[in-house]
Amino acid sequence: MRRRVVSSQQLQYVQRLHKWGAAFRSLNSSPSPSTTPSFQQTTTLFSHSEFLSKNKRVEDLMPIATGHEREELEAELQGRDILEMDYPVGPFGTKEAPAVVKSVYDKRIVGCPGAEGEDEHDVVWFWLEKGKPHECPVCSQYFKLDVVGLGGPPDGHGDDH
Amino acid sequence: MATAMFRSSIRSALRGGALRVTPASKRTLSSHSSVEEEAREASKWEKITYVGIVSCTILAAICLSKGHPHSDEPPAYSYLHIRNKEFPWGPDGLFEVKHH
Amino acid sequence: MIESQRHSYHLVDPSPWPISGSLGALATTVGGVMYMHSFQGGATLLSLGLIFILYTMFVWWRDVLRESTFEGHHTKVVQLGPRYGFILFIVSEVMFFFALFRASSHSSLAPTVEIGGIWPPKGIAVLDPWEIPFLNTLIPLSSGAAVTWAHHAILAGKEKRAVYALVATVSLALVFTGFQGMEYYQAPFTISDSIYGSTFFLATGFHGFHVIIGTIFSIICGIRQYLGHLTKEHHVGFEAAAWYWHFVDVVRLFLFVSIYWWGGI
Repeated sequence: MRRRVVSSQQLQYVQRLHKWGAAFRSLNSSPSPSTTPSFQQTTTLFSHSEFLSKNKRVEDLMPIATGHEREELEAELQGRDILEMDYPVGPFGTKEAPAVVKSVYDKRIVGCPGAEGEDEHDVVWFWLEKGKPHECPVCSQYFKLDVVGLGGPPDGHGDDH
Repeated sequence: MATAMFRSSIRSALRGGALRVTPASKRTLSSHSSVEEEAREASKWEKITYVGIVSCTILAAICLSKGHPHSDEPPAYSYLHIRNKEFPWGPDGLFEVKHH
Repeated sequence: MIESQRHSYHLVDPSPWPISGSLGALATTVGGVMYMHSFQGGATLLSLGLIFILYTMFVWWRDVLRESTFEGHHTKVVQLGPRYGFILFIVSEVMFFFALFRASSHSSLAPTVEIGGIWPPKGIAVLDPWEIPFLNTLIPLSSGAAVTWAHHAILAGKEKRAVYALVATVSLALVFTGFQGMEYYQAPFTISDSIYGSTFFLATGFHGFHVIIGTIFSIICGIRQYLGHLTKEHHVGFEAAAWYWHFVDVVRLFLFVSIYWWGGI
């Protein structure tokens, strides 16, 4: 029922991915969804490439839009993904070029599904912490955390006030 | 006709109307039909509605002019006019009319 | 800002309407039972309960309109909830009508000896299906065409035409209700006249009740369209009303074929 949608920028990303032939995924940890670059948007229902070429404003599409709906619409029209709720996908991470996972806090739950195709394995879950790059015990994919938000512990404990 | 409309409107609603992308579409969000196509659909259904209204009016005039024959009272079968318990509002039914 | 909640869903603020609706339902059911057994105060409690339920519906849905149209909480993914939910609700209504149709066919396909071994039972003067019943089947069909006209008009951005289309939808619906009332009044049999009367009036009666609900829904849509709430991108409420209306129309078609036409021959 929902279509997988890819923007023109993401199309190039896909092509690069196929060249390197692997993928990693990480999931939002439940208390703290952090922003991650998303590869596939499962909730949008229209084609991105059409949007970007038409360059419409929210006014043209739905003038009475307001609040969150308006922000979502605006971001859609500009080709932005404001929440980045989907799991990030990218090339196989190695020690020289680790798979970078963005996080708002200092640590984040990540799941590694292995490389593309035959090298897939059951998802292995682990906490990825700041300053402690992690290697998947099954396929040795290398992950590194990139803190893009405030940092600190995801559960908020450790704040004295 | 109604079932088909019902089904197709469900399908297009669930998919958000974004299953087929027509290159001739000028509007980006509803990628299955443009404003012009929708306007044409709208006038088509408008005409169908008018046809319906006219035929219903004619039929109504025919029906109302007929009047209904007052048939004789049926024999008092045990399964007719059941009153095992009186209605809370009295002996007569809600739509019952005492003709005599 | 949508980023501050880090998701595009809508976590609704606490509301008193669920409990008030529940209390209204309690009053309606208890009052209804009391009334039917002629207890004192039954009628009062029943009416109070019904008023309370209607009030709850009004304020609850008013709040939904406020949260969606006026405050913009209904992002694309939030809209899916009411969409799927309403479809499932219609499915449940289909189940309900299935039961009513089944009740009718249970008695009509194998008429018992007590009613004369025939259907319709001896002594029942059935209505001519080609008079008011046929008219009252064409009217909802035309009304369904009108609501489709309204939908395409909304999608085309023709806001005023859409209002006219909804006015046509509602007018036809009101005419239907009027004719149906006339049919009930003129019918030679009542609900107490054998199992034929019971199944006939239960099925057509609940259908009529649903027509009234659908009419009110369509009136609300007409008002909202007039006020400019519905846009070509976002009109989930209208779509729900249209689906409901088509469902009611389909039930009417089944009613005509199985109860009015087949049930009378």
